Amino acid sequence: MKKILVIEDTPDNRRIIRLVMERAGYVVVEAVNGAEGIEMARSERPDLILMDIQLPVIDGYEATRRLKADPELQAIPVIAVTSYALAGDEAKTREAGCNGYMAKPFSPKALLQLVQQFIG
Amino acid sequence: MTVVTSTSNQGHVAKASPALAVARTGRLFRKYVMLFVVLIGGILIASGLVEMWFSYQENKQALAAVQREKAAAGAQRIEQFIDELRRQIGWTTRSAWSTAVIEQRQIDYFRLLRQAPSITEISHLDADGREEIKVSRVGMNTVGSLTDYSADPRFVEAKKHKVWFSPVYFLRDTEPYMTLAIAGSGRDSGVTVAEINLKFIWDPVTRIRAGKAGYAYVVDGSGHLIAHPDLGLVLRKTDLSRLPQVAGLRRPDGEGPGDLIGQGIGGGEVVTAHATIALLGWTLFVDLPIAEAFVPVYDSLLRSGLLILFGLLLAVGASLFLSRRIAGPIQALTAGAARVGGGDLGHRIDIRTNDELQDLAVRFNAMAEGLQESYGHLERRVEERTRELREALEYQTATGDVLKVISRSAFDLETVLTTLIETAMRLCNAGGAAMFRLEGDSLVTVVSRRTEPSLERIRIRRTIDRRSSIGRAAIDKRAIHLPDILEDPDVDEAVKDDMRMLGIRTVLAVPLLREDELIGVIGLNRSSVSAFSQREVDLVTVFADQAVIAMENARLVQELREALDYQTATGEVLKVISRSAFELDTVLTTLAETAARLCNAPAVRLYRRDGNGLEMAASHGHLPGFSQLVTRRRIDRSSVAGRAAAEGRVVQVLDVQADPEHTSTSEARVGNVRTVLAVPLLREGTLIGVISLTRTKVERFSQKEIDLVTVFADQAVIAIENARLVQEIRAGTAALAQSVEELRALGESGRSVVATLDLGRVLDTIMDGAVELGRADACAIFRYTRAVREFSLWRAHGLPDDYASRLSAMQIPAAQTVMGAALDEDKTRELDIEESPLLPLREATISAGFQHALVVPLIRGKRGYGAMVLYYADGDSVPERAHDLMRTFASQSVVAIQNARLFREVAEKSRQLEVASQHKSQFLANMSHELRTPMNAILGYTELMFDGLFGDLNAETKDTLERVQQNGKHLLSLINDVLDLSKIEAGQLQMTFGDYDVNAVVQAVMAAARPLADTKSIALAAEVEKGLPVCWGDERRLTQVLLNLASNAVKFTDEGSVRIGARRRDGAIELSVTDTGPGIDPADQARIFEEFQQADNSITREKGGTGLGLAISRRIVEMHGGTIVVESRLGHGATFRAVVPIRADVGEAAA
Repeated sequence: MKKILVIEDTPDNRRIIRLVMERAGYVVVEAVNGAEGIEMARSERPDLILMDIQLPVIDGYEATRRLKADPELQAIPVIAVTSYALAGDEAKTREAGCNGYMAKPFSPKALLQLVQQFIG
Repeated sequence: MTVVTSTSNQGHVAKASPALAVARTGRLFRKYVMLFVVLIGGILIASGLVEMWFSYQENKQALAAVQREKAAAGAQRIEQFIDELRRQIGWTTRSAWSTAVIEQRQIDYFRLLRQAPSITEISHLDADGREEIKVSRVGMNTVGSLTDYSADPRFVEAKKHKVWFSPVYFLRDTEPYMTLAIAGSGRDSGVTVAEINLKFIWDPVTRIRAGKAGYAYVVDGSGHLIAHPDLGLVLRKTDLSRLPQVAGLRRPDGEGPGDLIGQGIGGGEVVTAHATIALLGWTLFVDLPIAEAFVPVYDSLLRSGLLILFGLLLAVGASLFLSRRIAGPIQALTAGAARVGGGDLGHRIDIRTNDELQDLAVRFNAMAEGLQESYGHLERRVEERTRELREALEYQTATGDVLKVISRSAFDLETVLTTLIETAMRLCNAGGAAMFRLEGDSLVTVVSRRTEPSLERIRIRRTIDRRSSIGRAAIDKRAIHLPDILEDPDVDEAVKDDMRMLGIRTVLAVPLLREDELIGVIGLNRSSVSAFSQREVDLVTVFADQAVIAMENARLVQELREALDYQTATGEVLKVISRSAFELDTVLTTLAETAARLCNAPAVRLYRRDGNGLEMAASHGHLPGFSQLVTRRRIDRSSVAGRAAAEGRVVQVLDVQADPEHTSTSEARVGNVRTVLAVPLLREGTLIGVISLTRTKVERFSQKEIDLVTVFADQAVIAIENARLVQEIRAGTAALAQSVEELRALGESGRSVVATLDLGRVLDTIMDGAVELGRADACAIFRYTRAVREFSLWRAHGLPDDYASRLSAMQIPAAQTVMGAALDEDKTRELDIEESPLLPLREATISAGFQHALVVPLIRGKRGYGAMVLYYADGDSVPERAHDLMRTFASQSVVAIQNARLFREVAEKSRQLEVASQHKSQFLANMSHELRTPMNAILGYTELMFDGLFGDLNAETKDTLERVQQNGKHLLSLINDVLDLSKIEAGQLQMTFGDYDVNAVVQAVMAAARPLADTKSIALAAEVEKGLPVCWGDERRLTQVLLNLASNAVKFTDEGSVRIGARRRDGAIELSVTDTGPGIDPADQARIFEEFQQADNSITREKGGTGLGLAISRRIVEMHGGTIVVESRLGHGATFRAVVPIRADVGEAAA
């Protein structure tokens, strides 16, 4: 069973993702800020990370940069799931090292399809 | 006829060429001879040939008849011979053989042998064909040999035909034999066989002779030769069937040879005849070689030939004789014609033939005579004509020479006239010639030529009357010819005396008339009485005309020369005027000098009007005792110049010394002034001077001279006028130059005011200009602070540093200062610093070297900005015009100050705006984020609930949930649109320009719009023009625009279709969407592209949409440099057209 790490500070959005992913058969672990997210990635070794960008403590850009800087973790695909949906925002996440991008508000089905593209 | 024609032809040719004629005549003779010979010879030859032919035929027939007879005789002989033998043998067989014994038979046979020497052997065969007995003359006699011959033809054929003749054979190659077998008759059933030596019959046959070389021969039925004089031929059994006569025999019709001519055995043609020996089937031929047969024919031919020859000789003789008779006279005629043609017209032809030829000769002689006569006449005519021509030529040459001289010496009248007179004298063979010119009422010698040169000097003057020849010619205006002047009763005796003295008898006088006006006379004379011919008179008349022309030419040339002189002079004067426009004295002096030269006046003066008098302005020529005394004239009748000035017209006084009105007569006497001409100088009717010409002898100025001086007067007026204008222009130019300089400076400062917004620099430039144009030494601008009513130094120019720094440290109260007063009154103020005790830093100002100051208020509208002060150093004063000029500078300075302030304010505002904009962007970004986050929860949960994640939903719940979702989505699009619009307004909407494919845009929009269209069962179609170019613009935004239009169309259309189109239009791309929806009220069409406007606000709620889409679309299209419009009628659908340049106009987009 594939494991997905959700780093998201909004409880409702965390819940929506968990509901969708679990129904699709994934194991979901959660973190509420960037620092915790990095720790969880180290301890849980997920198959994929869904990363919010505006996060307390360490924001999504920095968290992604750190994950991608860690040789043990850099292979894990990171999908940015963010409300930064203006022109140029996607490019910023890519610069930080994200492998995918999903703007909020998202359709749960669409997010699931994107995840499945990375980890089947 | 032919002969006659040919003769006449020859005659004709003979004229052209006598040599040829002889040859032709010889031919005529030959022709006659030939004709006779041919005629007679032809007749003789024809008769000879006919005779020969008949003789040949007869000869042939005769020969053939003889030969036929000989052949028939020979044939008969053979037949008789054979018949005899057969009879004899038959006779022996008639005895009863049955009874007779062999011996008897033998005896019979012996007897037979004896009786018939040609039988060599005889035998008898019995009925069975066996030989019973044989008696032979050459061999042994045998009895009962019983040799069997039953199969032999002699037995078989004999038994069958009773008689059988064997073919001829030869025994011992010499003698011809034949076997004869006869079957027995009666009781005898045997056959008697006899061998017959044909030699006995052959010899006679072969001895048959025809002529000398003719011979006879026999051929058997098969055509083989069996008898012939040459036995060898026979022995060789020669086959003669190929010979035509033999072959003819063997022809089936059996008619025998038709032709008498056959072929000889030895070759060659023969005359042949034959006879047939029917019993044996042989034929006897008698041949005679044709050569021999025709010997008589040849003889006959020879005779005929001789006869023809004789006939020919006779013909030649006869023709020679006849030809001579005919051709001789013709030749004589031809030769005569040739001689006449060659020019010997006296030649006569002597022919006495008493026939037509003689007539012809007589007629010919008559013609030659006529010819001779007319020839003589012609010759005389030609001689006459030649003489005439020669004379005419001479006259022509002379005339030509004269004309040449005229044209060459057009300006030398005397040479021309002399040439004329000399030529006339020479051509007319005259003793003397003279030309007289009309002078008053007399004729005077101009040129005279005589054979005696000493007489040429005599000059004659005659009054025009009838007492002299030239006088008469002058009066009558026609040529007067007196063959002997001494005998003429009308001629005056005095004239006659002159004539006697000059030795003149015959005279000719021709008048010189120019357009019927007498100008002179030409006279010619001879010393002996010898009348002039009419031609000579004519010639002199021509010369008279030429003399008139020459004189006329000379006159014209003279006039032309004068005119040219005047022209040149006038031109020179004009040149001087134009060259020395500013040097009036030079011009006037030149005029005076030229007038003096051309009008032959020793002194010329040019006066200019000066008040009531005339003052001398220029002169040429000096009159001692006059020029220095008189330099001024009154305008009255006391002088000629004064008179011309007073009357305003040309005045000429022939002799001043005799003029009673003239006042300065004594001076005139001293200066020897006589004739005076004065011409007024008038400018538009106003007198400005006078030009006067003086002569020191009494000689009237001609009209031409007066005209010339009038021209000079006009030129003098122009020159004076020019000089005045130049003076004025110079003054004007100086003023103009000043103004131009000021304008330039103003322009410069104006430019710098506009060009820079740096106030310091603007003020410096203004002060620069102010100092320069205001002729000041320094300048300062003071700022006025209204609130405290104080001035402070703003900027200084040319002030000493310490003074300036002290000044800048001061706050100068406006009250009681000149600056304050100037500002209050809005007037410039000038002040003397020493006399202005209240002036701040007065001592410092004075010690800085300034004495005066000009204070200029800086005011715009009603507001005072400050003052500009110009400082003038000790001794300088403030120029009058500086006041106005400085006002201009002041107002410019105010503008510059205002501009600079405005610019600063604008820059400040822009900076503030920029900061605000940045804040706005940040705010927008934050708001977007903060709105999206809760939206995500709302829409996410809704979708999960729809998907049944939270259990099945009843219909009502589902419906409600759908509304939640719709509203959520609407809210989201509202957020998006607001953000877009905000960005556009903040200028932050970033366009990403690049190449794009219109077709791809249309297809993307089709794909996006299709689901909704399908749901609503609306037809959706796209039409994209082929071959659209690759365009340049923001593909994503343009797609957004088209999608917005298409979505709206689908949204608002309930049935029908939506068509999307793309095509090229005037270098741009037109994207259009046409629907069959409700349409848009024209009143609303303008508003729908504005923010938050829909045709009907209720629609927003009903159809969804933010109402921002079209506004955003419009902005995007405009940012591409394009336009968007709608065409619609209520109830008839709508068409939206967005037109964007093929290459987006970024410049416009940026603006």
